[in-house]
Amino acid sequence: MLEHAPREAVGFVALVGLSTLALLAVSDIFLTESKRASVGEWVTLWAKRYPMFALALTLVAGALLGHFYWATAG
Amino acid sequence: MSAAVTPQQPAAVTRKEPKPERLIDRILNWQFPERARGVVTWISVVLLLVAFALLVWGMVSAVSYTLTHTGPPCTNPPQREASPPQWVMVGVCLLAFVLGHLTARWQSIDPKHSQRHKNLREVDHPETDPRKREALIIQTLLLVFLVEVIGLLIIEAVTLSQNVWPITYYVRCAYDAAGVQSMAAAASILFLVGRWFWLPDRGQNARTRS
Repeated sequence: MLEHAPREAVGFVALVGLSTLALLAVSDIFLTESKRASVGEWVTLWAKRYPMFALALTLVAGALLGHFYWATAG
Repeated sequence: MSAAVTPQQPAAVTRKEPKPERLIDRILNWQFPERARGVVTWISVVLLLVAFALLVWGMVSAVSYTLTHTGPPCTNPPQREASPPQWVMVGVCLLAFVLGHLTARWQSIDPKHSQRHKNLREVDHPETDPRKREALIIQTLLLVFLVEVIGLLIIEAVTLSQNVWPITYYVRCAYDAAGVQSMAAAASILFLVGRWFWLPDRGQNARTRS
C-alpha cells in the first residue's frame, strides 16, 4: 500500500493548479468585459504562429492530463 | 476517373449545386439578435465569476485541510466510487465544457481588437510593433506554465519512486471526501477549457460585432 502524500506536495499541487486557472479566469473576465480578444483567441493565434511548438505542448499537456486524471489501476 | 466535359454539355450540368447547410453548421452559425449580444457577454462574465469563486473555494478548502490535519480526508487508497456517481460527474463536466464553448462563441468582440491581429505579416518595423508587449505577456505565461509542469512532474516522479501517493490519488481523494465540491471545481475547469481551447475560426462560424 502506498503511503500518504506529504502535505507540502498536496499544498503545491492545489495552489499551483487551481490558482493558475483562477488567475486566467480573472484575465478572461477582463477581456470579455472589455470586448477584447479572449484567451482562446490568443491561444489560437499563438498555435497558428508556432504550430510545431503548439503540437508538442498539446502532446505534453494531454499526456499529463491522462496520467493525472485517467488512471484506472489501483 | 472523371469524365471530360464536352462543349455540347450544358453549363448547368458542369456547375456544382450548392450543398445544403448541415444542421450542425446551422446551429453553430446561429446568431443572437442584436439586442442579445450584450446579454451573452454579461452571462459569460457571470459564469466566469462563478467558475473563479468555485476554484478559489476548492483551493482554500484543500490547502486549509492540508494545513490543519495530518492525515487525508479519505481512505487509503481512495475509493473510486463516491457520491455523486462518476457518470454524473462526467455529464456535468461535458455540459460545462459545451457551455464554455458556446459562451465564447456567441460573445461579441470589438472588431478594432480582432483586426489588430490579422495584419501580422504586414508590420514593416517589428521593433515598434505595439503588439510586442502582448507577445511578451504570452511568452511569460507560457514560461510560467512550463515551470509549473516541471514542478508537477518532479513531484510525481519523486513520490512514485518513494512509494508515496501519486497526484492521481489527490484527485481521487478529493472526489471521495467531497464529491459535490470536487464536481463543481472540475466543471469550472472544463468550462474554462471549453472557452479557451475549443474556439472557432473567427470569420467562419463565429461572429464579431459588425
